Formats: sequence, structure tokens, C-alpha cells
Amino acid sequence: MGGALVFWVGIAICGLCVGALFTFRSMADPTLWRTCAILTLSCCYLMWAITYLAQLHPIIVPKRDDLRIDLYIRLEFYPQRTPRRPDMEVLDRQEALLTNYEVLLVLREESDRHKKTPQSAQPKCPENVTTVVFEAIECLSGTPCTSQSAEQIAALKSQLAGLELTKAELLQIANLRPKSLVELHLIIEECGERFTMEELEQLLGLIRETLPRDDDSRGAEQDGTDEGGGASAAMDVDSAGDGEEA
Amino acid sequence: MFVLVVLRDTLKVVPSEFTKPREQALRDEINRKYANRVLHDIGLCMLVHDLLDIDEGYVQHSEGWLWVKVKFRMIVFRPFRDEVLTGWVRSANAGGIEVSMGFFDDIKISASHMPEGSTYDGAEGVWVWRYEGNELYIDLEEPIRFRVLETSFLEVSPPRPEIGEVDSVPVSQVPPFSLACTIADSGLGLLSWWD
Repeated sequence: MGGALVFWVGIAICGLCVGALFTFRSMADPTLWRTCAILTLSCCYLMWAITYLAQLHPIIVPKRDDLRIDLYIRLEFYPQRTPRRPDMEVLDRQEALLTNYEVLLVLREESDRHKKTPQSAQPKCPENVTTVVFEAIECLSGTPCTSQSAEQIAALKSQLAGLELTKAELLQIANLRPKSLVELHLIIEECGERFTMEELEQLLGLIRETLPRDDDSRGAEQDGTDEGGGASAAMDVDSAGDGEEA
Repeated sequence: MFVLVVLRDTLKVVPSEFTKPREQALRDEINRKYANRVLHDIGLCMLVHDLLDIDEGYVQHSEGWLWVKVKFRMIVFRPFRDEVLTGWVRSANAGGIEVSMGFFDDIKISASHMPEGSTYDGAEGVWVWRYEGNELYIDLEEPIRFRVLETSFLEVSPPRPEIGEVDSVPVSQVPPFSLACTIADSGLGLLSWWD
């Protein structure tokens, strides 16, 4: 029926009141009769309308005490939020490869932030965060990425753009910073077939230029004696390895 | 070594963190939940890299904190196949050697992937590579270069302490994320061999 019924009945009662004005013209005391009729009609209408509306939209609602309140509260009074939260979703399992340098930056930033905030101001940092930050920084501090910068890596990328190296090989060159042919053979697949000896030497030179490190001068002194020994050892083990695979 | 993984999750911001800028509070919450934990088939999560999308958040009826749906990128340690990494030798036994990288320990080089001609010296507890008459010892705590052959993920239930022992530390037997590696190629092995 709804709330409109109240208005329709109200209009009907008004009609009856107007009717009452004309009905009692022939009586002895018409004013008294009219007052009586209109008063009765309005009081009865009000009593009915209030009771009807109170039952249509009750302010105090009966509730069951054996159910959770958020499961039966009417949705028109609360915005639709389901009680269940969605689980974690993996949107992209590998969006990009990161160089060690980039990761070290983030780790150092986090570590500096921990040191700056006074320990008393907020609860202690959770153990898993401090563990991973500390150990990862320690591990990466022993790698060549400590002396690298964003410009160096950009320079490396542009210099090596001409050679046909895969992303994985570029990444490993930046991370491991190979100093010898042996290391290049490790990183680059089918190295002997894709590049000649001169190209590899050139590549080593490029790497040394774009990613300079302090221990280069020390390495150069030993290069004369070790390079020959290292290269021949590589050849021997290579041939042994090839024989095994074939 | 490291990859960026895009994740979406619903995280809570407790009222004591409302004074922090929203982004910082969410980053702390993500790190608290994911740092140094292995996600199956994803890898070892390190730290959050950046937040891509944050919604306004809502308060769940009868709870006192804010739930925020966040899309973010996480730095994850997951080396690809044939990647060359460096670590140091943690322990050795007849089955092979175990290598550690500090933040990640479950790296195994089994006996079949050792260089040609290496044997396990039971008396000293180390592996020896006999090459061209030289005896090259793979001592513990030595930096070593190795190549990743396979990354394996195993579904494990959370570690439980043993029944009846109050103080025992829960030990998980099987690592959820482990690497099987090799040092059988030229250029691999202890760094001191090739420098």
C-alpha cells in the first residue's frame, strides 16, 4: 500500500468534512453539529495515520540476537560493502627486470628512513623488514653495483645498443661487471659464435669505460700474467666440457 | 636477480598511522606484510618499489581501521634460469655444497653439478677439484660464482612447534623456494680461481 495511502485517505477525509458542512443545514444547531463532525473525522484520521505510518517505517526495529548485525542490516541504509575482502592478486608476475643498483637504492632509502625516525616516536620496525634490508645491503655491498649510478647504466645501455645482446645479458653485465673473457663467455650464450675475439675485447673495454671501479688499476697489472693463463684454462675446460656434452 | 612484480591487495591503516602521509603508511604496511617472505611461484619479496593506485578506503562496519585497496610493485628476488650469481659457501657434505647469499640461503649445488674431477674430502669436510695436477679446495666462507639451473617452489604449510615442547622453535623442513645450481662451467666456482 505504501505511504501514498495516507494522503489519499487524508483527501477523502477532507472531502467528508466539506460534505459535513452541507449536511447539517436543516438541523436546529448546525454549527455545533458541524464542529462535532469535523472534529471527530480529523481526530480519527490522525489516530489512524500515525499508527499506520509508525508501522510503515518503524524507528525501533526488532532484532535477533543470535545473528551478526552486519549480515541482516538493510542495504538501503548502508552503502554496499561486502564483509568479505578480496585476496591478494598477482597482476603481473614479471613486469620488469631490476639491476642490483636500483634495488640497492631502494634498500638504502629504507634503511636511512629507519635511522632518521626516532625509535620512541613509533612502534619498533618489524623484524622481517630490518632483517631483509640489512642482509640485502650487506650482500649487495660486495658487488660492483655500489659504485654505479643511473647515468653509468644509461651510458652502458646506449653503448651496447649496437651489439645484439639480450636483456638478460645486459642485466648480468651491469650486475657482475665482467673483467675477463671467461666471465663474458659465462654471461653471453654461444659467445664464440656470435662475437669475434676483437669484439669481445672491445666489449670489455666499453664495460671498463662506462662502469669504472677503483680496483681496475690493480687488475690491469695482473692482467698481463693472468689473462694468458686464465684464457688457456678456459679453452682447455671448454674443450673438455664440449667433449662431455657431445 | 631481482624482478618487479605487480600486486593488488587490500591493506589496513590503523588510526595510530593516520598522522603519517597515506602513501608512507601503506608502504610500511606492505613491507610489514610481505618483506622477507616467500610468495608461491613469485619468489622472495624484498621491499615495495612504488604504489601505482590507491583507492579512497572504507571502514568496515564494527571495525576501527581503514581498508585501502592498493595496486603496487614489489621487488622480488627470483633469479632466472642460467643466471650467474655470487654468494659464499655455507656448508659442504657428500651430497654437494650449500651456498648462501646473506638474505637467501636455500641454494644447493649437488654433487652431479660440481666441476669434472672433484671429490668430497670427508676428513676435512670440503670438496676438492683436481685439475691439471692442482688441488683446488672449495673452502667454507669463500666467495663462489654459480649458475642457476632451476628455481623450485613448494607449497608448504606454516612451521609448527613440536607438540609437548613449549620452548621449541618451529622449524620448517622443506624450503618453500630453493635454487638448484651448478659450478661445472668454466668461469664458475670460487672467485679466487679465475681472478
